[in-house]
Amino acid sequence: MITAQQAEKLLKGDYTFESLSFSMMLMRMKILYSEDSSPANLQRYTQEISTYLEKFKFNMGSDISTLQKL
Amino acid sequence: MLMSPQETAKLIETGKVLHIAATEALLKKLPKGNWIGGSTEYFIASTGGEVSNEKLSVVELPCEDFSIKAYSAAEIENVAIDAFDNGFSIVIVPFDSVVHKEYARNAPGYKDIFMKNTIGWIAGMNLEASGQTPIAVEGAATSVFSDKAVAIHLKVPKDKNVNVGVINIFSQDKSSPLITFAEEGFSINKCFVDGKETVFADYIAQNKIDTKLPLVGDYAGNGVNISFRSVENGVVNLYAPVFKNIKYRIAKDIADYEKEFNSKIALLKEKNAVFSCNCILNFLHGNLKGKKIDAFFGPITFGEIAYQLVNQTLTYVTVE
Repeated sequence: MITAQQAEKLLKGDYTFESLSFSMMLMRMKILYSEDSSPANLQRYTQEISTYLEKFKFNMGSDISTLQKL
Repeated sequence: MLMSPQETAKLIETGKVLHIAATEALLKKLPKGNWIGGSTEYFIASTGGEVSNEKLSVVELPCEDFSIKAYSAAEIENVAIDAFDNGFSIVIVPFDSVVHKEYARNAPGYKDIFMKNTIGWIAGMNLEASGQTPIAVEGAATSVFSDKAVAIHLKVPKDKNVNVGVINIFSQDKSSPLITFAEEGFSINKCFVDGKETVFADYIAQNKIDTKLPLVGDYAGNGVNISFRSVENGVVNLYAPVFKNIKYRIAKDIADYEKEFNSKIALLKEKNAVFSCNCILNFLHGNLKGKKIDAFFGPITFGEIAYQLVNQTLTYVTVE
């Protein structure tokens, strides 16, 4: 679970991750968020990232520590 | 594993769930069963890179349940929705078809595409033979498609962990300029080179860019390759679309493809891939015919799918 504030850091920052699917998903969101950074979109991406992490966190190794430092 | 048509037919008749890659002609002769197939004549076998119109690459897929479905260009957006929550899907898409272009352009936006383990490949043909059509086959009805993708969705036990991975021997040449695009697609006129608007074809010609090397997009630290298809009449044609707001650079040169693959594979020795495929451009540019790659055997393909379309990449899935 991440907060909207953490999600915004991810969407605006230049973080790197090992997980291919997370990286691809994040880049897709970054592109869309750069075009429409409305609170509704931030809420949507926060939820989507949280859902992803809930499912795949066990498989994300060192990426989890990157996320914990946000 | 490469098999004869007779061995493959026997295996299909046992009811096993199979992924099969072979020529269009061989696939069309197979019996009905629990399999999907795609056309190619190129393989990475345990004995080395091989071109064959007599053998089939056959992989038995582990699962506790499965479904097979064909998808038109209008339907392919549902491919991840149809996948099992705990499992993976293998998608086969005919080269240069409408569904190929649709998937290439829009897969990153498909619902659940990054939430389900999606791997696959673009089916092709022998580049030196005429009259072949890239196809995907739904084995349950032996339906053959040149305009639809075929996917097998596999469910694995909850205690199994599925991972889709790539082996990418290319990385961005950080000494080369940053290339970005205001237009998206397979055919590109203009780009921005270090922020300056430039005719992409002119940039390639003036800087003698080796178009055997892909463009590498930076996806939050992961490199995603886009291969060059041709440069014609001032237009650069690519094997996958470029996207806006992705930072691309030309790849670093590769001196020895075989050595590079084997050194990357050595790092993944413990991985036991249930399915893998590698790109035709690696096979051709790396002269891999007859050369031994230590693991990750399977079809040589005309584009790879690791969630979205990628190029010049070895993709694999593990179930552990």
